[in-house]
Amino acid sequence: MGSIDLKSLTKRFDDVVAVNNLNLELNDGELIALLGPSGCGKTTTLRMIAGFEMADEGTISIGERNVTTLAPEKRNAGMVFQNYALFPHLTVYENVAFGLEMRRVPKSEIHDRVMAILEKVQLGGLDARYPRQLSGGQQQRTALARALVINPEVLLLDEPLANLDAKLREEMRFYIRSLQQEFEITTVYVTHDQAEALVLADRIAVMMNGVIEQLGSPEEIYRRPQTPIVADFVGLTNLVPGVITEQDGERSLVETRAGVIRGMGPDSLLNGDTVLVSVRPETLRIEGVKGTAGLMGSEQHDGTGSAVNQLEGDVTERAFLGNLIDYRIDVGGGELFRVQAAPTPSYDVSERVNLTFPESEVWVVKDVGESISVDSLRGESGA
Amino acid sequence: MSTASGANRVLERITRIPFGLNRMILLIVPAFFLVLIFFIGPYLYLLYMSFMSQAPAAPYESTPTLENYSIAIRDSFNWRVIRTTLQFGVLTTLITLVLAYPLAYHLARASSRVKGILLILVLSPLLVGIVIRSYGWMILLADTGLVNQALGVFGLGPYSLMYNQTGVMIALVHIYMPFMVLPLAGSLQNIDPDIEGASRSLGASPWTTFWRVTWPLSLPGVAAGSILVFVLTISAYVIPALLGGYNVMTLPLLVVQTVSQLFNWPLGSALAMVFFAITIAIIWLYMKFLNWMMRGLT
Repeated sequence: MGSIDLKSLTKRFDDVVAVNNLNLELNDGELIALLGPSGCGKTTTLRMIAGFEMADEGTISIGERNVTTLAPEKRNAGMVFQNYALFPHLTVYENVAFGLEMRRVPKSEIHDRVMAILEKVQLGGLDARYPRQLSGGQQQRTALARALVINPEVLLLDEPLANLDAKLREEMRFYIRSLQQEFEITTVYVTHDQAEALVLADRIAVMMNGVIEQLGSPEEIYRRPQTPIVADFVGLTNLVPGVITEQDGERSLVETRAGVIRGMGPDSLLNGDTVLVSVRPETLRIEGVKGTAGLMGSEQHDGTGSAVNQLEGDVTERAFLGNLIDYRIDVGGGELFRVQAAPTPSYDVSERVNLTFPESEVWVVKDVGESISVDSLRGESGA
Repeated sequence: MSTASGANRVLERITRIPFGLNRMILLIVPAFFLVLIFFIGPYLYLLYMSFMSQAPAAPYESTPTLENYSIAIRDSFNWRVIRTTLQFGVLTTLITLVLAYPLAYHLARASSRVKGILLILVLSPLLVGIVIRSYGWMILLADTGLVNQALGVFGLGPYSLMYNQTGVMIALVHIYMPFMVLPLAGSLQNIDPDIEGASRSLGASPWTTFWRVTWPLSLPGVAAGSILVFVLTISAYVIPALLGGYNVMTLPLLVVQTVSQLFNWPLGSALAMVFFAITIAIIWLYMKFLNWMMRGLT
């Protein structure tokens, strides 16, 4: 087992920079998810660790060894490919035994180790099958067994669940996580599925355009995104542009077109900063407006008496999701809020509603001159 | 809807063939008759003729005899010709396989733009008629030809490259190369590069990866290509005739000579039948062998 250390890793394809001066350190036994949209450089990074791509600049260390220029077969890294890349002409047994044969392990030991790992991944009795005779999930577990049986120092997973159907994919998340913890193996897990990353990872590295936008625990990534791009990419959120009017430690007061919003933000924020306020759809509480103005703003007021974290608007769209109803609510000022709430009580289109949300669930992100791209992203995620 | 489906039913009834045959069978009827009339028919006729006696003023005389087969099999000259012919077949197949494999691999992994250009280059030997191309080779390979002149500059040669087996081999390899490259490239293209990557990450060197993964997975292409090239080579007529200058005798040349110069149609037919039987046996054994090698692939 070993740690992984990537230092100033850069990879160019012709004039496109796929990975740009990337630094990442994995502790022994840690699972890090590289999360990002396609083309962000996450797979290239993984392929460089595996040795399929050579880094243009920077170094890769596995454990104590510098493996930057080593061929893949010298790296002792177990890899699972998106399409599993099982050997179609070999049986399950022969597939799993392949890596041990390459290591010149004695035949009887190969037999014992292959049978043991097949049992472990619940493929006992299928050892004589060919890959094409297996279901997608079984192929997936064969690929995992083949990568793990060689006792690799690190495990590299390239979108391992992308080709499975939704239900199986969810089960396999937990399965891979428990297997990884049982083997205590340092793992890099590439995915574009943020739910997968949140469930599986010790830490998530959100990648965009060849760089790591943010590295942190799933909760940090989800609740405390450092950049608008991360806030937008991970989970659904309402991003509202505004200006800081008051900053007290980590508490911010933000003036937006929809009204004043109070939330949490890094203490590096200053009065007058342009920011984006992120409010997750599931943190908004929705209530009908009963025509009694007295109810309005009864819960939260700031010092001046005007309502904060309380918005009034009209339902413009609603979609039934089964366990939730997904509303779009026009709160004025051109801002459309997305709200996900329990299916009862339910509100109809054009009904007037009140939205309230606690200060602790609002996160303020500095708008770092990416407002154009964020605006366009926001159009998609908000819609 | 109901009228349309009604019309369909009527159409179905009209076009249905008795004996429970599916209408799809109709699709192969033209090709079937073409093969029957122009291939199987003549072959059966040859078979018939091979059991007839030679006649002075006609192709054959309708007196059944085994004489032709007796001559064909007992004359050691015939066996030497058959051996030469099969040697050409095996050697051409092996040489094209070795030369075509790296080319096909490159072709299979090339970007689509490069692939188009490479494909045209690969097919280029087929763009010129076989006779013209053979004369082209004669200009290059003659004792005073371009190759020997060029070698002469370095004080080498002249080598005898024509009117012998060398010349025939060079031309055969050149011309049948595309028939090896294309099936090979097709099957190599079906191999996911990640499968080779998986082999490497499991500890296999590039060389081991080739022999344990790439080669076995490319066997369907090897089978198709080698059978094509072998069959085409042993039945080649123009190339051995022009570049061998009748110093090199192959079975197709011998059959044509027997028929058109000795006017012995029955003997020529018998020779063709003997060779046909040998070829079928070789290909059958070869397919058996390949199927055994590919036992995991199907």
